[in-house]
Amino acid sequence: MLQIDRVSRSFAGVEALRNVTLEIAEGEVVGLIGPNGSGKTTLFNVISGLFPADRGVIRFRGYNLAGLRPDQIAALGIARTFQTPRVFHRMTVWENLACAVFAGAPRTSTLGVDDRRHVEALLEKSGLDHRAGELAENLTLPEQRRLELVRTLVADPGLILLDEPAGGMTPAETEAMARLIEDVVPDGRSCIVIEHKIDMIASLCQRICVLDFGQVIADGNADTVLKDEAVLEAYLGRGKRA
Amino acid sequence: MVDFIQNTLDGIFIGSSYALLAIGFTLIFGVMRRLNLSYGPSIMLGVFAGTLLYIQLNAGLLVVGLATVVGAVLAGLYVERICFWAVRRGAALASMVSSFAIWMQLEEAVTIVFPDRTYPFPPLADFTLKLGPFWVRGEHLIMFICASLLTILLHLLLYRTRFGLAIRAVSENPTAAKFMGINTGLVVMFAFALASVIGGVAGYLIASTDQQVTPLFGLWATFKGLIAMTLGGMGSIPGAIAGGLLLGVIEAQSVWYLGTEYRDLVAYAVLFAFLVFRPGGLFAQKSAMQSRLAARRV
Repeated sequence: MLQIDRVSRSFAGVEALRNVTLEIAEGEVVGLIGPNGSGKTTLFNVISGLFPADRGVIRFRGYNLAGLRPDQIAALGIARTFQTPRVFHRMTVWENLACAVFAGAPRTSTLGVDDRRHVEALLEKSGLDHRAGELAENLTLPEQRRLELVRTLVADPGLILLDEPAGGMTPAETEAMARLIEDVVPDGRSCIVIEHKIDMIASLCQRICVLDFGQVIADGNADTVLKDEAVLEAYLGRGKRA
Repeated sequence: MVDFIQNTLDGIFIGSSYALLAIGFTLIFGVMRRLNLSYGPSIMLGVFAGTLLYIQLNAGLLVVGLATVVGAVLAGLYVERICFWAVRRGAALASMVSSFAIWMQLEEAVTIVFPDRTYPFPPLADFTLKLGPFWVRGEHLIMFICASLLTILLHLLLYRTRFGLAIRAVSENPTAAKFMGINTGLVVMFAFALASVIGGVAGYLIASTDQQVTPLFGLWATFKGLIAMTLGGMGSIPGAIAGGLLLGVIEAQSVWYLGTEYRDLVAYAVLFAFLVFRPGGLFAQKSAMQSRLAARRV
């Protein structure tokens, strides 16, 4: 579904991504971990079109993403969330989702019955159904993160990029977010999750990819990767650094 | 007291046209976070398109009105392409400076085609109503009704249609809007066109009340719109309305109690007072500013 082939990206001479190669299959949920500044969010930004790769190719369902704008990439079926939730604060919860319906269907001028049912179902799953008329700025951080997550699902994307979906949450809220992701993300969708909470990543992802200094240093089965010496050293601070 | 109320009424009527100008500035500022100094001159171009048809063909009110709005929209889209689309990735200052350059360009172009100081514009109405001790000029009343209707339509557009949702999304968080699949470039262009329609209507109402146009109309419209927007709160449509009405009332009272020559002096004094004591304007958008600052921390 997604092929990232030797992608590099530099900022002012600093290589944020170095020859990153990664392949995500249909329906696969992959954890993307690494220390701060290892290039995880940069990879999301390059995939979603915020800025282009200096070198390398990214293909999604066969389409080369080079030169496409973020909205064109979103239209192909790639949705994302952000470290800091980017919900529309001055819109209601319902309007946030309605906006996503319209963004995903350029020829639609009003919400149809199916659209409304779809939005209502997502609101119910996310536990936000009782807050549909509330301005998003009045939601708590976990609620804003849940809203942002379900907003990505409105247009039925093929690939979802989740950037620290449990950032700033308590253990109980993190657990609830993990269950929500499990609940809403399957159905053949692929997903890449950036998260520092290893327990959450281990429970959600069959596969984990580790970035360090912009390079992939490990990629494979979650159990194996989390025991890898290079990963323990780079990410968990064990081994030689301990 | 009767004089004070009469002045307030006159100020509200005139202020409704300032409110329209401020709404146009606000729409553009909302989606771009940049000031479009050419907004007034692009309206001026529309007004001169209307006056051209009036002078040359003796066109009726409707045709003159349509020409004014169409002229303002075309000029507005020209400004968007040159000053904002072309330098979208550049600094906000570059867009503002280039919009100033286009202002000069439009003013020069109109001066070349219309070298005289003033030109006639057809009047909208010629009647006066007496309501108890108060007088209401017909064109003021029509101006107020049109401005109110346009504001209601704009509200419905922004809060009841997909296009309105897209404008609000881009205004609040253009990055999130982009990643949701909204073509922000297209939304900005439509917002410019919408602002130009509103500006065109405002220009038509003002010119038909004055029954004359001058190439300095652009300068006047830019100043009035900017002051009204700043008084109300930059980026806020309710603020633009309140700022426009407040400016109108301040001007009307100043003219009556101090004299015409003090009108602008008092208006600018009030503007400076707002900038010092309430820089966010009447409808300061604290939460929106906070959310934008938060949004920068990707």
